[in-house]
Amino acid sequence: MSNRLTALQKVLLSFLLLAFIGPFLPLALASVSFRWGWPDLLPSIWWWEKREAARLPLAWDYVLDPVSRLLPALQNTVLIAALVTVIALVLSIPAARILARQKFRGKNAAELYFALPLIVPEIATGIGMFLIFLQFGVQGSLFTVVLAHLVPILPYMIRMLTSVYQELDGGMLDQADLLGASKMQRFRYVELPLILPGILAASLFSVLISTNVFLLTFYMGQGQVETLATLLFAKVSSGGALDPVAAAFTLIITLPGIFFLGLTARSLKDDVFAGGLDKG
Amino acid sequence: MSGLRLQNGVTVFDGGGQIGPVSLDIPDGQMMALLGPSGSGKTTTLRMIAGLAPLQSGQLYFGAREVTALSGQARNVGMVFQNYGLFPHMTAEENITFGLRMKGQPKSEQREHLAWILEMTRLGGLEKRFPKELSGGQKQRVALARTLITEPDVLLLDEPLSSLDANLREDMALFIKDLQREFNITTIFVTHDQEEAMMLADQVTVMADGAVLQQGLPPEIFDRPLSAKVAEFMGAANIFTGRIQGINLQTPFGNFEALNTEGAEAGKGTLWMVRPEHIRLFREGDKGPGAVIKSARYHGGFIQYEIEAHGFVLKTRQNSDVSFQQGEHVSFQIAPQHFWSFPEQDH
Repeated sequence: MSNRLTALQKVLLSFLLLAFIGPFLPLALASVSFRWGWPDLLPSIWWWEKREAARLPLAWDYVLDPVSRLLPALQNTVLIAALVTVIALVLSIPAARILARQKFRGKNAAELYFALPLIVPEIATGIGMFLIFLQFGVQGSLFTVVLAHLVPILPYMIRMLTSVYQELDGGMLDQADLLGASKMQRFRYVELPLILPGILAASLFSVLISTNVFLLTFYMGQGQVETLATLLFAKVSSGGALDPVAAAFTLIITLPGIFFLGLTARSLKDDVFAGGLDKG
Repeated sequence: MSGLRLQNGVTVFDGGGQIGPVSLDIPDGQMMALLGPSGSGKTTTLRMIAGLAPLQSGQLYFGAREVTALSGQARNVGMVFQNYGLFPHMTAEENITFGLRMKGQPKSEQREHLAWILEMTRLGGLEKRFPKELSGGQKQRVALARTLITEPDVLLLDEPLSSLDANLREDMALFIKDLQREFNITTIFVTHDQEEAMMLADQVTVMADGAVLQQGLPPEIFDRPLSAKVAEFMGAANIFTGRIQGINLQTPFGNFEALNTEGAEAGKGTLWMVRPEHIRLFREGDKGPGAVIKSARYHGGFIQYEIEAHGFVLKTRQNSDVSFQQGEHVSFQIAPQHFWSFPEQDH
């Protein structure tokens, strides 16, 4: 096998890269523009040309100014994503374990049942949950947002971890038993390290979904819980197309995902995985 | 250390099938081969002894200790899986000391044990390698070391040689045999290869369709199989229907003088066998019944001929110093003691 790409493969790869980076280019340009109207290929007036003259902070100046409320929104986004992911993992790991390894009556029905939230539109779930929370008077808190985010995330999480568990060699666990490991030791030293790559991948999905969910955040948060998604939505719906601030927010909203992706990619590298985990 | 006795062990497996009742009896420190075709229930029997498949009925004893109701862990049994089951995220050393670490043995004792087992299994210098950096034979030795270091009463090996290259098999077989003798540990290993079973085992148990067909010493199983099924599984025996008439045995390929008539009833057709190596061929046409060479296959030390006599094809095995051509007319002899009548006639 050759490690060189053929000319055709290079062209295809370039297209692929372009397709992934493509959407980011106009965003990056728009975020540093002052005026960018049709049919100009590039902004006609740049942000820095107007920076001194403007009375209000523009573009990135606005974004980084406390008035944009970026920092609290970013904090909320990260906190919610982290809470949702941890809770989803705690609920999904045992569920996936059973679904993958045990046979029981109604297993198919259970699997379908866990996938149901994916079929119901988010807006219906959102309104329904809102009405329930309203009755209990707990609407508009971080906690209700976290609960709401679990709705679209749990189905994915359970599904991904189930296939992770299906791949896991059961003989390895039997072996740990026979060698004298207790159930907790078996989980800590054998099972967890073996499913860790799957857990990281599922967590990545969870973080991505959580940072991007607008409707549920909006309903449950009651405007009291601001995340990057609600902040962005407010900007996009109030301003014209490709408002520099909205463009900047869009770029920032991708940061938690990219950060987590970088983190997991490092841990998933073979040598780190093989060498760094079990030092118990 | 202790012997092993399984009495009428029955277990069920996922598909709803049943294995057993299986009875095994292995004296202390001996090695038994569980021999049978795939799907005969060998591995399930092993899992039953290891506590991985629950005993639905029957009793299991390690020495005088009844372990029927105990978990695999409490039985103190070691098992090496067919794919070795090494933990991929641990080094060879971490794999080997796993059992000691889980028990919380002091580090200094762990090191002592490790040094000792590394020497026994000739793994020195490979401690820091991960399983993916080890060859098949090395993985096998790490798996053996990992199990033996916990000092189990009984050692179970599932197809220990099947994943190895042909040229490594014999070395590994001898290595396992030596190790087993040195530890003097009661051992059962599963195999579908009768040569492997003969080479390694003190005793052989032949299984088929979830039941034991015969248990005995290798020569017993080989020369005096209870049934045609066992004989077929033990290699290329010639099996035929014979009839005792006076002092003669009437066979489809001629009349012979025969001993070993225990399973046979005079005048009634019963199943018999004669092994290929017990048929002697002669170039001269007058030493016995005549036959024609149908095919010849060279096997290294010997040649395998198929001969046809009265329309019946017999497999024979001859030294390679005299060779016959296809189509050549020969005569053959079978000594009376080499006819074997199966005590169990169901076929």
